[in-house]
Amino acid sequence: MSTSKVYVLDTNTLITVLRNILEVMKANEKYLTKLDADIGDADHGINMVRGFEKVMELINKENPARLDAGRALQLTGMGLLQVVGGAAGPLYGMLFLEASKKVQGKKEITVKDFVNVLEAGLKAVKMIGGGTVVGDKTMVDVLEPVVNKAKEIISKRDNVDFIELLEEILPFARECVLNTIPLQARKGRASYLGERSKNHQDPGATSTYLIIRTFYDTLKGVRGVKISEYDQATGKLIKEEPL
Amino acid sequence: MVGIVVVSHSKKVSEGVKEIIEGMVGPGKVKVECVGGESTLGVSAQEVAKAIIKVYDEEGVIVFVDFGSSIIGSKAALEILPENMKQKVHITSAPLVEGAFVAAVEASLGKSLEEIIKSVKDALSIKGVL
Repeated sequence: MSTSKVYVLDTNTLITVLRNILEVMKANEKYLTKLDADIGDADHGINMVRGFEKVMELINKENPARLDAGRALQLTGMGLLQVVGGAAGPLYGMLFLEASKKVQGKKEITVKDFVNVLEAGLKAVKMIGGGTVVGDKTMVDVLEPVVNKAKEIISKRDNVDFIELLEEILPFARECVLNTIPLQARKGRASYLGERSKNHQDPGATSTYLIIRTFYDTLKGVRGVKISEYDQATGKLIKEEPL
Repeated sequence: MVGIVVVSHSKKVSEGVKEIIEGMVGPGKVKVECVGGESTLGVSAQEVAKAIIKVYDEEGVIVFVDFGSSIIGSKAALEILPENMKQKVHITSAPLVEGAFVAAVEASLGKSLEEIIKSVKDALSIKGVL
């Protein structure tokens, strides 16, 4: 394991992260679909794979070497908005599109930029979702606490690098995913199930965690993880293994 | 003339609504575009945005949705439209079939977007005999 500090994320690394997210979605497609089958319409896995395939297609079409970070994130948003139906496409699409505006024209993203990007994405998701709050059993259950924690970390400490930030955020984000299990859904198709939506891990919260986690894994030289063990009844994630 | 976009989880539903409207006011008398899913995958924001652009003019566009991801997809579609267009596009909570019917009649009479937005909210009153 490398202990070197990572203070900036260059566009090349960002594109590697996006490519790895596609691999992670492919590796976890069945798992995400299983989670969605329990309380939704069983398309989350396939939707995320289709979406990120389109994202990589758009990025490769544009000569990746010449892209800046803002454009790469913008293409990510556009790809997801173009091909992903259901709620996940518009929500993730707007997340990346709004996030991209925070780093327009930048070749490198600092830790502070990264936190701004996450926060802009969160705002977009809440707006498009119709005022989604923590506890509704959605991706906001992971995203909002993570944004708050990241803001707290960078405001209290100087010279925080990506590795330090993400090492603190990831176990916390994972907890947030598990915290969705007992909740009754108040948004999305799962909310129509009422009480029956309890005791299931939220698919959107899970994919949000996997995306954040892939930033860390990429910086550590790993492509990402596959959820290798989970509880059949609740979908609760138990173990992740490197791809 | 105000344009109408119908967004449903099912393409059959949105096409059916278009069929009703055109049957009532006459084909080509209103600008209607329908967007709907082919399977359970639903519609993408871009499909909705494309439909809006097709029927758009400076009079504006009213968008009818069924529920859930149709709403979220339409809201995201608004965000990717050019700013000047976005101002004149309204997503309504009015009932899909009755609302789109009322909107079509009023649009064909040359009513403004504001007038139509008000009328469709009350679209269920066309079933007043019940």
